[in-house]
Amino acid sequence: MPREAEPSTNARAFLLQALHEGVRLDRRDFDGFRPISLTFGDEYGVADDSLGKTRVLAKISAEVVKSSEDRKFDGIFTISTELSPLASPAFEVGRQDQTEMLLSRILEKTIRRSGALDTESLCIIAGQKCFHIRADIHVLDHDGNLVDASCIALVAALLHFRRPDFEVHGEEVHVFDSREREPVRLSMQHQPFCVSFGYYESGTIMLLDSTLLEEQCREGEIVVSMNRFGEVCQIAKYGGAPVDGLSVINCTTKALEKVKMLDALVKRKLEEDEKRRDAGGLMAELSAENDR
Amino acid sequence: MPHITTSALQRADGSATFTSNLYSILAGVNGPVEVQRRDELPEEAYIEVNIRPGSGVGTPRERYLESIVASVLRSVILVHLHPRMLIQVTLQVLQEPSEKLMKGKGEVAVLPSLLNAAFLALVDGGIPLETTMSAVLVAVDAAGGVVAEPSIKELLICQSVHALAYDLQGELVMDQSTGVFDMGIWEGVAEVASERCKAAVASTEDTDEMRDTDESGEPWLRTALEEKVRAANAWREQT
Repeated sequence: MPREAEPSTNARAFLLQALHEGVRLDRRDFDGFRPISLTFGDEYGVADDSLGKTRVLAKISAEVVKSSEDRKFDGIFTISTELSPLASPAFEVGRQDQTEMLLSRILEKTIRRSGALDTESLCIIAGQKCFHIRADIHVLDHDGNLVDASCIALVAALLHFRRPDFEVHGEEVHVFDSREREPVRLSMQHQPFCVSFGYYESGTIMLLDSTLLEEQCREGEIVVSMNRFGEVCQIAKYGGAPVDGLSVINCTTKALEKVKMLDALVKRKLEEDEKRRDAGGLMAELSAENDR
Repeated sequence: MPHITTSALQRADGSATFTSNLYSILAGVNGPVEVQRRDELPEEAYIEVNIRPGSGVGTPRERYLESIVASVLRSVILVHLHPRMLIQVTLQVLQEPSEKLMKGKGEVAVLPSLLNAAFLALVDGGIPLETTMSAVLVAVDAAGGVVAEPSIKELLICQSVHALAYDLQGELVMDQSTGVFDMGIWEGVAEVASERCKAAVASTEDTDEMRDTDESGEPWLRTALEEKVRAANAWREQT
């Protein structure tokens, strides 16, 4: 398996010099995202998003399984991130490298541990049956900032997904087919997004949404995950160079602004998709959900 | 007619998506690249196929499909041109029918889409190939009727499913079948399949009088390849 090509000394020096003079190679602002596109699949729970040349597909699936022994009232939610050679030939099949480990760890902290998905609502019969929601992240193209792109795709896919409806009669569980009864949404408690900053010159220059080249040249990164209310789910700092506290606070304020933008984008796209599906205006009648 | 896009990915050397009426497959090809010592073959390129299901991790089912796809691709790629190299084919399943097919049927049903996607990605990646090939799925219903490119409903009730692939010379390069059938039925299936594969690469000019397009299918592969060549030659016309 070939290694990821390191940028040449010239390319690196050019990038750093340009940053020093306040210019990014693609002429973006330091705190600008690349163009984001988000599309949904024909089935529920498939979201495909791209940040410039980075492209990630997230797919959610649900099945009924036995609940875990120690968490009887909870369903199971797992996120699997397996990088394939599609994204870059440097990713080896069946071996976890550092990129993959960091990606899965951050997503785990941001989405799962922050309680974005209400796992209690996935319980069918306590201690016996529950839903297992599985999120598969497929990175299709890798041009930097996998974390943000995967997080957007994952949140969008979770919001888009519908799990089958069910009915319980005593010990009997009947899970309805999508043709029998309209599937229902997952209950999400909040929608956190990741915003990663690459830092240069010991934190004086902070870049949002780095490309692969910028990632290879940076001193380190700070990943801030928060929801649109400004509640921080996690902050991670990778890389050796120290960063002073003030820049981290700066990061969180900047992240909040971006998270609000991302949240609005995902909502808008979801609404557009819903309109596309609801061609005859029959969705409201099909739904078995109660107003809460 | 399947829906095809080529050069769907930025990083992979060659890529294509192939969407049939059942499956949607995204294929990426990297090659020829450096091979690991344990896989190195002294006289030919090693072909690695990775199949990644839409949800979940690869199981023995995927390993089994990989072995079939790899052996077919080995007969299509000019492997001796790149000794001690690796040609890496990754097939990502993007969409599959929501109805679960019976064990065996599901594996055979996905094969033609996998192979067609892989072939288009190889062409897109500029890998030297020996021939042009296409694969087709054929089902035989309870009454013995042969249905090419069956719908999911037809697949669920059929007696047997067959995945066949033919190259440009009309040679059979893959034959995978499952279900209950005899030699006579198989011969009927092979005839329909070879017609389909021939039609896929048939000239687009003499369509009208030569044959009935509804019977044997449209020249989808030729159209896709012609478009690819046209796009590659666009710069010539501009100058």
